[in-house]
Amino acid sequence: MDVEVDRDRCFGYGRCADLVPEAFTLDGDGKSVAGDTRGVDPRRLAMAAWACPMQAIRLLNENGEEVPSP
Amino acid sequence: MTIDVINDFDHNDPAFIRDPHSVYRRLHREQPVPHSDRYGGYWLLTRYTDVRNGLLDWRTFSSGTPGVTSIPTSVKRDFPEIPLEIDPPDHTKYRDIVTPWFSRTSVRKLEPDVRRITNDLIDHFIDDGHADFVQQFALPLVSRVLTVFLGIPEEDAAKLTGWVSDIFQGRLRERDRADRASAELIAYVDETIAARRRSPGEDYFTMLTQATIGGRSLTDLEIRGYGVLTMTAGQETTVNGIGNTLWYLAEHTDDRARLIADATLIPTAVEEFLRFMSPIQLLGRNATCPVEVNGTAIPAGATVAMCYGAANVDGEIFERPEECLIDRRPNPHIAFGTGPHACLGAHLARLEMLVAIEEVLRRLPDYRVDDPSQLQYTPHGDLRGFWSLPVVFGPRRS
Repeated sequence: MDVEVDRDRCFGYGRCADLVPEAFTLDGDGKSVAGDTRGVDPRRLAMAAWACPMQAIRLLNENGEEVPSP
Repeated sequence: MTIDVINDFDHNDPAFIRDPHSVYRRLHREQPVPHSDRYGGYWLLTRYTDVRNGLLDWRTFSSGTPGVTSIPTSVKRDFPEIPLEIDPPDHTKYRDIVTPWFSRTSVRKLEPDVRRITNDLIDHFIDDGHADFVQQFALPLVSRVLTVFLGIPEEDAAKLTGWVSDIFQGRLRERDRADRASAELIAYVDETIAARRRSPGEDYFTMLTQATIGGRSLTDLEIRGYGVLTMTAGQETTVNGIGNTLWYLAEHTDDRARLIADATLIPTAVEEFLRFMSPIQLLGRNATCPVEVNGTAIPAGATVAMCYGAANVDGEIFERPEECLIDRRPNPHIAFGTGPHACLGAHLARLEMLVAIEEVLRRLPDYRVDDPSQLQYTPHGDLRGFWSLPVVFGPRRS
């Protein structure tokens, strides 16, 4: 599953990088950056999207369509 | 004192303030959405998922009434605190104006000031061998940092502290005191706005006087809403975070030794202190329509408390929820809330807690609570912490 982080919404709370460090890191501005998420358990990506205080993480299926967050 | 927490919950009961976790344990087991007749009546959401969903569902659980987040309402106000008491979509526009000032990168620039003020305060009492870590340390630290952040004179910090504590503490038993303090705080904010309009600087209030929303400038009343919010929301919360943490580290010297041995653990520990001893235990919302939560029907117009403190010890989300594990990861606590109104000051609060812990452990590594009977909690449990935390410590270190 692919993910997209909306950098305008991201406030750098860091939830995603704490919960799913294999997919998300914080950059020099303290904002979330998603790495290559194809090998990451989709349930864990969904958990990051669920926990994001700003709801800045979108989950995308193989066609690039948005998957509703749980 | 024993309280019937299922039918007569009261977050200001001293027994609750002393030990909220045992109350939450019972509520989670027996009634996760209790109702209380106190303070005009309110419901309480205690499950993590309910609180999280409620905070995201701003249409149902509105913040758009002045005073709604405080139970009971703190003071009568006819203007909203901005952006806290505005619902989306307007909320987003108001919040976007100030977001850059609270970003991680902006806040990081304040670190030298936070460290300077922290050490200046420690210098004042280190030779005494004793101090009150709330009254002589956390309170002046947080209010002085706030003055630096806002670009107002650092000498005004004590005045700000006085007004804010009068507002929060006075609302329970001395409404006159709260109303007087609120009027003085508003006058101070209004004077600052007028001064910045006359002679602009590079500070927070000048930025607000120059900001636009929907193609027009902010009004004085709107800027007042921003100013009053920043001054009230940014004080007692962080004071509680620092006080609770320093109390915990006095009582748990094994954890303290770990943090002294390896300071890189402190940021992770800060998140756990925020979860385990949430500075904000609950905040209010207003139900805009009838809604059912976890099997309980809540009518339209009801006051609903989002209980961060209970959510943060929910065993469905956290393993060993009532243990403070300073290296806990992951740690999806919602001490800063979530959704549109998630705490804007989170990065500043984290920075102040981090620096306070680092410097206290460096310079006063052996402090201990002087006399447990002298410990004094805040008189309210929605913002929960210590009001007095007297400690003693050994000879000085540079």
